[in-house]
Amino acid sequence: MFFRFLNPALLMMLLLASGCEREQRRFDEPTAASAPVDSIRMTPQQPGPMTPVPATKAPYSENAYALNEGKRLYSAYNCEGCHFLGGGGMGPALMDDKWIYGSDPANIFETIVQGRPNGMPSFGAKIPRYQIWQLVSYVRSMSGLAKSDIAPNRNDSMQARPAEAMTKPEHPKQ
Amino acid sequence: MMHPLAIFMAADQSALRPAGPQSAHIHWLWDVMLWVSVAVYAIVMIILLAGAWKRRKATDPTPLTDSKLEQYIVAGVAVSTLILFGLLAASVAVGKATSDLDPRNGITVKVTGYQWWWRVEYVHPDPQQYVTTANEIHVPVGKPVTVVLTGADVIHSFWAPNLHGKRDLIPGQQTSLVLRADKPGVYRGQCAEFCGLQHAHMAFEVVAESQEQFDAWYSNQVKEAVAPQTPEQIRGQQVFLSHACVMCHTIRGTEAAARTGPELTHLKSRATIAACTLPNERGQLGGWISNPQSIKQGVRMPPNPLAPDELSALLGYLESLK
Amino acid sequence: MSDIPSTEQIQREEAADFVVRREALRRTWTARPGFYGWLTDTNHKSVALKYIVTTFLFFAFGGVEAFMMRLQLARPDNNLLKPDLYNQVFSVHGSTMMFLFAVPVMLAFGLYFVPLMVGTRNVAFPRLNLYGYYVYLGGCLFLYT
Repeated sequence: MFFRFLNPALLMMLLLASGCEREQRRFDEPTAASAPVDSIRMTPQQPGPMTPVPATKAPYSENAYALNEGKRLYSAYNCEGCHFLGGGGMGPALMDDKWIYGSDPANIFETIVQGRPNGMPSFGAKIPRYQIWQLVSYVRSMSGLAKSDIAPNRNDSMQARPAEAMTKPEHPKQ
Repeated sequence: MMHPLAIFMAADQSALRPAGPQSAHIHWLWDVMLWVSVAVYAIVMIILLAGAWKRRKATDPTPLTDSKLEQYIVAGVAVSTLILFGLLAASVAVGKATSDLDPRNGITVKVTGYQWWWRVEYVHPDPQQYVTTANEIHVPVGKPVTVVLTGADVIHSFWAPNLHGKRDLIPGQQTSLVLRADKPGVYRGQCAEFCGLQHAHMAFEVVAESQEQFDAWYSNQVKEAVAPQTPEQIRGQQVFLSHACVMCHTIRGTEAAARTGPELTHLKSRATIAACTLPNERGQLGGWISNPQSIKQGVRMPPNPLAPDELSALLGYLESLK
Repeated sequence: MSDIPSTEQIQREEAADFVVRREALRRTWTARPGFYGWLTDTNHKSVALKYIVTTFLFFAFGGVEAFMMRLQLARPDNNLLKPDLYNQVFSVHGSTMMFLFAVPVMLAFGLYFVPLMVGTRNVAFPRLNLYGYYVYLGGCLFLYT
């Protein structure tokens, strides 16, 4: 009987305070928040003993809004022009397990920022850092590497491929 | 925050001040419904109070006879039905009248609703004469304007109350309306279908002007962007082309040709920016470019931290785009 | 001759029968004692009252959300609720008012009065009915966490 009298507002506040990374929407990113990453390696091979390369965690990999923004930016910034919807065309496919310059989020980030030989433009001066991280997380979701409750579930237009949340993970072959 | 009234003192936005035939029809219907409702309300109240007054000192406890009661009920139902059918007829007549405007000898404007701005395109058979602008629709007074509407992302709704009713912009479909402005002036309209975070700040202006003024405006809009003259403007153009701006905006006459955001070729010819949220002045434009999120949270335009001299040069260039 | 029970014997048997039956009926139709009894009472009036109290609590929450919206809309360019939060508030307000108040309270009033009006003792499947209330309560808490 006494449950009814537990202050419902307090309960609601406590539950809201625990927050949810998946549902955060940050519209105003501080400029220093997403600085370029250093010590990127494109290959794990090194002279001497093999030290494992720790995988970086992209800033938005757990955020559903960021992956959806990545999907929107993928169209808006015309990545589709060369990579189509992941199947590739002029550019390599993004939904397979082959990563020429590494599949680590930091590698993908540097690919977009620096550009790559044979046609990938350098977007470093043209796209804000936080949007590049959103694109990085989205690109990883195209091959199923994002969690299925985070990745986008549907297209606004006709789907040419299964939704990113339903894509079978293609684990990168190094 | 800026005081919105300051910008919009010149712009009218009211369904009760019709500036065209369709909104006049709608205003007529509004008046009819208002006065009919007032009359019905008054009569019902009078009957109610009369009944209460008469029964106040009821010494005679015998109730009304069945037939008397029946008469009252039949009368009430009959009158209500007649009034409702009358209003129905009026509504249908007004609906027909608002959609009956002859579109011949007019212009066609294609409006696409984006989150949270309006792309306005003047359809012309000659591609060289095709004009694209944003958030401001100029129309010649007295000529019918066919507005073809479609949505780019979610459903919006076009509503300039001084001129016409609402018409939805639905992605994947084309809807249209024909309006005519009979009085020169600036008429503000806004989005009338909830479309997301900044639905409240998605307005547009219909500028009705004489045929000569419209032709002058149109021929200016057709031209490419004014080439930068002063060193500051030249620097400003370089800033524009080397930063994130080119990813989304078009300035005809430069290599910037993206269509994600509004066209800026004749930015300075528009009275407002950010879909009629801010007046088109240097200070406001600077604030908008630096951080649109602080003004209109959730818009698609990212913050652009620029060095002060770069921002100043860029503003100088944008201010020259008349 | 001795098989035929006497009148006293029949009366005694019937009395015993009646006591057993009365006890069985009491066990069926009364709630168990105490708090646990209140929780497990399958009487339609008791379940309906639980529904009504819960719905009115969530009516109050929905009202608070409506009030927050009204405060935001009281002045132009108000900054009380940022656009994202405002959208969340009206979404929860709508869901609460419809699904946690309006529909359940109508059903609750029906649940209270219809068996009385129709003349039955309870609805069909009374335990399922009570279970339904607890599922509803779970749903309310689920929405609000």
